[in-house]
Amino acid sequence: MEPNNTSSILGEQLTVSPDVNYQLTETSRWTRIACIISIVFLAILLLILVVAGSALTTVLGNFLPAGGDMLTGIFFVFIGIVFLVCGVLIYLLLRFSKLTSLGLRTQNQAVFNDGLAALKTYFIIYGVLSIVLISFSLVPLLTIF
Amino acid sequence: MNTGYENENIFNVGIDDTARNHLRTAATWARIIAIIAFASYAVNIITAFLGKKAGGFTGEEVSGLAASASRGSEIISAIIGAVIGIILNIFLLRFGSNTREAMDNLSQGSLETGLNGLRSYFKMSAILLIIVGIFVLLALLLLLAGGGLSRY
Repeated sequence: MEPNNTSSILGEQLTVSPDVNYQLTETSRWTRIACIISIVFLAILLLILVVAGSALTTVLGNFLPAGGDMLTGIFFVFIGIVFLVCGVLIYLLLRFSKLTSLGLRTQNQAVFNDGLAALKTYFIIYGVLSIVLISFSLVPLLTIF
Repeated sequence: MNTGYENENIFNVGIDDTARNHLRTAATWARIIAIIAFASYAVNIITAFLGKKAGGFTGEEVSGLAASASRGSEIISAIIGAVIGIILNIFLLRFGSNTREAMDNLSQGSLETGLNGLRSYFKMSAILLIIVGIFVLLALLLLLAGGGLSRY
């Protein structure tokens, strides 16, 4: 059901009022700050992995049983996937931040819409990840009952 | 002559059909994320109280006082995490619910309330990241200082 189209035809429209403009500009500012901090975090983590990578492999080798090399490899692949997902999420938020504020500043509807599209994709990926993660966190609860 | 009309129409960018579709989808997923987050906090607290966690220590592995201390810290961290997370996700839920309502009923007030929720959500996230960052930096500095001192 699409009641919006009827309303649009009748002339009712949502506008970017000064308040909406303020909220979106502030949101893009805070998302940029969050992204920059996240990038710094990822860089520090990557640095630690590069510097202490061999030591970490040795430590993991001590804890893991025979055939631990493969498990160590899986661990590093998992870390790589985590980095990749975080990178994609940060990129999408940065894109939202940049394009939305640019669209509002230059009064460009297409750029503004691209910014909102990035926010949409960000929430979709984050939502799917949340569903996957909660299913993992349900496992220990299921073992109790 | 300033009629006040100009103040309402200073922006050429509007919420057109494309923007509305993007915002509607984003709001729907934001609501899903917030609800899942609430559920996961409940799961975490239940798991902490019942005292079994994947890979964690059980009462048989760690004796007496150490086990209860470990259980206590687990419960406290689960509750603190839940309180912070619930406050954060209330903003996200507000964005999801109000923006979706705004898209469906073309309500300007709901759109403004929803976007206010989104702003608060990202603002709080950024502030939390800054706080966590400070703690991580302090921990790293302590670690480095400890490593340096152990050489002498």
